[in-house]
Amino acid sequence: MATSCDLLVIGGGLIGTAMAWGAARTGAKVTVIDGEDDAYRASVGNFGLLWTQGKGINSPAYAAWTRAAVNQWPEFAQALADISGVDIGFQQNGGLHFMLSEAEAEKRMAQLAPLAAAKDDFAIEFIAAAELRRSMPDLGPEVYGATFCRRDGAVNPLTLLQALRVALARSGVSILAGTSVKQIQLSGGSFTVVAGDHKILADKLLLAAGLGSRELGHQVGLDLAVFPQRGQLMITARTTRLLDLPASSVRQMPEGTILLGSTQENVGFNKSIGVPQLANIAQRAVRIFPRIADLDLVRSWACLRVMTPDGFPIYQQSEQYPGAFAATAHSGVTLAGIHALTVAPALLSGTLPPALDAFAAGRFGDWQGHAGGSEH
Amino acid sequence: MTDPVTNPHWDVVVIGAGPAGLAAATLLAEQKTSVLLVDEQPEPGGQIYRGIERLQAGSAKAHILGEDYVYGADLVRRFRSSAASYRPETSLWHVTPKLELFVSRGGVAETLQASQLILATGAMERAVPVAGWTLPGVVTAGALQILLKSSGLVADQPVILAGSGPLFYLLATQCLAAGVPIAALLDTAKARHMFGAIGALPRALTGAGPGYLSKGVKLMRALRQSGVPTYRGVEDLQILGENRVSEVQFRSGKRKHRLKAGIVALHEGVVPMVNATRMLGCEHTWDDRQHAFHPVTDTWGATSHAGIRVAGDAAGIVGARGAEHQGGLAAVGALHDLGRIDSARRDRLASAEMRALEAHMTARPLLDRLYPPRAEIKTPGDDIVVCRCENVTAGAVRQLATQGLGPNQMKAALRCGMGPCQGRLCGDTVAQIIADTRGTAPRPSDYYNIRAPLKPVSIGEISTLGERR
Amino acid sequence: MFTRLTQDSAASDQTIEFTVNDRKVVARMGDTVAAALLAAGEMQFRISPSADKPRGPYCMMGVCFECLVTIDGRAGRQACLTAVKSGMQVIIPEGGRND
Repeated sequence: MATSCDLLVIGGGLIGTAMAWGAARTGAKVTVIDGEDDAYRASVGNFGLLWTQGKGINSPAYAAWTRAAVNQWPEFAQALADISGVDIGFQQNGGLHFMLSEAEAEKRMAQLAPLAAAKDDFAIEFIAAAELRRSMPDLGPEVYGATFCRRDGAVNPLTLLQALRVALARSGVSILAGTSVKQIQLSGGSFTVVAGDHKILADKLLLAAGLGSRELGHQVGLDLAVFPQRGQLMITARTTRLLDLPASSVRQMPEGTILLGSTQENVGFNKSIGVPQLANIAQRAVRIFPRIADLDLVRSWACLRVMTPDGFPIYQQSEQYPGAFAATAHSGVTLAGIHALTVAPALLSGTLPPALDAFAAGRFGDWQGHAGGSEH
Repeated sequence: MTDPVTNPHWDVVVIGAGPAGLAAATLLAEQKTSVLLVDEQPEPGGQIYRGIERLQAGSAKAHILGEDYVYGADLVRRFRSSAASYRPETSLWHVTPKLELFVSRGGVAETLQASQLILATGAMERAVPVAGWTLPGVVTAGALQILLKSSGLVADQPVILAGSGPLFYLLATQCLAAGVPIAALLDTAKARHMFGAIGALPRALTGAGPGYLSKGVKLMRALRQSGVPTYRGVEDLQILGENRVSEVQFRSGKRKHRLKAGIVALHEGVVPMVNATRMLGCEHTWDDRQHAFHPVTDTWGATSHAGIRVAGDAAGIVGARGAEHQGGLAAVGALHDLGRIDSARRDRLASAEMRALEAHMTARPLLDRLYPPRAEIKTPGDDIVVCRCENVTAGAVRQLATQGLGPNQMKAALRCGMGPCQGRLCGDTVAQIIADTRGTAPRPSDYYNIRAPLKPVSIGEISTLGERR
Repeated sequence: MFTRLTQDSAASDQTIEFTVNDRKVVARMGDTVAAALLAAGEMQFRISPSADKPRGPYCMMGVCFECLVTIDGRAGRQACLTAVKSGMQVIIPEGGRND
């Protein structure tokens, strides 16, 4: 069965669906190929944070990009709610990062000094424990304070993905689920992609397949330096309110469950959980909120972040095969709005925004794989 | 938090103190192997011989539950007098392929290391997703039996029993003997399955088969003679009530019926508990006769993973006596793997177990064919809640299945299988809806990925297992 | 709701007392919390947060997690797997009684 479209997106995660919906909103004919049920799927293993705190301290381009993304979120959230009717739990009232000792606080404040000094909308503030306790009486005695950025926020990452899927369906985008791409061919300036029983002709192509993009990239002349970084999470049973704002390692969802995370481990394509790492997450959570010790673990989770050597995203159009693009980032939630509203229309026009020049695939030179990544 | 007990090493750890686990642990201990039996119940016996150590000979309970129950007392006694170590009220919440076991006992975390693992986690009653099955007062037939076995409790208001299968008829007669006011028996078995089952009859007349069949005939006769109103070929069962069950509605033949009910007990057979083997990544297969997934095992209970064995109903439904012999075979297999016995000795130790197992299995194919779950249970209508924890309907699952999504994407999108039961009650149903939508039999990949915890464990307990102390 | 067999084994005649929402209830040694609650006439053990409807024990063997109650201050305990002990304080949603 052969079909044709203006844009074919390979990858049904947060980056792929946000870009596809952004393109479809401009009237383009879009198709999305989603992977198998047990694909790595970083989109379903994260905290759902909209986060600027600490991002881009040494990269003005990334700091600017993240801030622009956060600024576009309200518009994106509204448009997505309008079309999908799905509640994604969007909140943007600030976010916290707890610190358990004076030394920890000093170290973090020193790291964030450039951002704290800025005194702009995204400035980082230090809030002492005594003040935090006024709204969070359950805070443990070890908590020294927290950093706070009032532009940070959060969504429910699972309903966000679901909302995007509904938005795609309602925008006439066909999603080929449970399908892996077998082959990409270039013929007469457009692409022919064979996936499962499908053959799709596309004017433009976007690789948003996360860790799978590395392999696919080689077929369209893109060398993408991505590797897996494992992050482990836990979700507790529901409990009464502990905190209203999302924090970087503890987040209470609206229904009362608490997300605890996370780790950053270079262990290759290993998606299993490890008890010692979960124990470290648990220890820190219990030091922040001792009451968490009594809560049952409902689920544990390990996901593979799509990491790059410098930790920043990659946006690149193939020089060899113009019209073939790749986008990869481990901040698919924070960047969802800007992907849909800014990047997708640019991609259809054939040129990426100049702000993305800093995130070219070529910046890693002849990258040969991550040293820490080993198969387990 | 109490410090965890860390890493005592065992030759064999057995999970589950039902017939398979008891037999395996006893045999291993008798062969001078260091063996630990871990079980979440306070007493040995599993579900089938639950409360057996507190049973008094000649008591009303012994009479009601019958000789097949009383049989378990010897099995438990032999285990108690063996040198096997035993941890009751201990649950396994995580296990790795390297056989590190993480257990929880009275709120204290413990880690164990085994050279060989025997999972004898048994069976659970098949989920019976019908309208109203989430109402308080709707229980499994097994739940009524558990109340009787462990607390001598019987219902004292109108009970409606709905279902089919050997355990269903057994429980019905036990209820009668206990004086439970059975308002009606709704038999969901289909007469036409008799014809399909005839082919399995000759084998069922060998080994221990005739014993099972004559017991079955006696049960059915007792039920017929009891005068309990019985409806046959029951379909379209709906349970009604506001905050608890009050009535049932169903069809029997062409007629619709509506009856008052205080308690409704459902049963449509039992299925293997697969969460531990799923978590370990063992190979599984869909059993077309038993309509359930089970791990792939060999004669010795060995799975696709070295050192991991499954015995008893957890490897496919074999019944209590079959489970006992499978436990023996798994123990013998483990001894051989540990290098304690050579192949010749293994085969000698196994030959009696194998013969006995074979004898107890002759009637199984006949029973499987006589009492398959009906279609409305396997792939329920759109309005029916399939995931009780997160209140997800069959229709929602079906809609995403139509879009080509698998069970793990559904979990993320619908939250089905995300609640505390970890998909135990909806995993098979979701797999069957996906398979039905696709028009094939369920595939092993149609089941949820299972991750820790297998059983409840607190964040505080986990926090004691870190590297930093 | 549920009643004891009159001639049950002597061992389980030993009674203990615990509380359900501050109400004193008598159970038998060897009962699980779930069995003791059912014997005391309780059938609605919790309100399902996802369905916002009452639920009660379904499987009685630790599989279904429908019998979750608060025991001695800890929420979400499986009543069917917890042995009842003297002086235990069990909390279930008010209005859950059915007698």
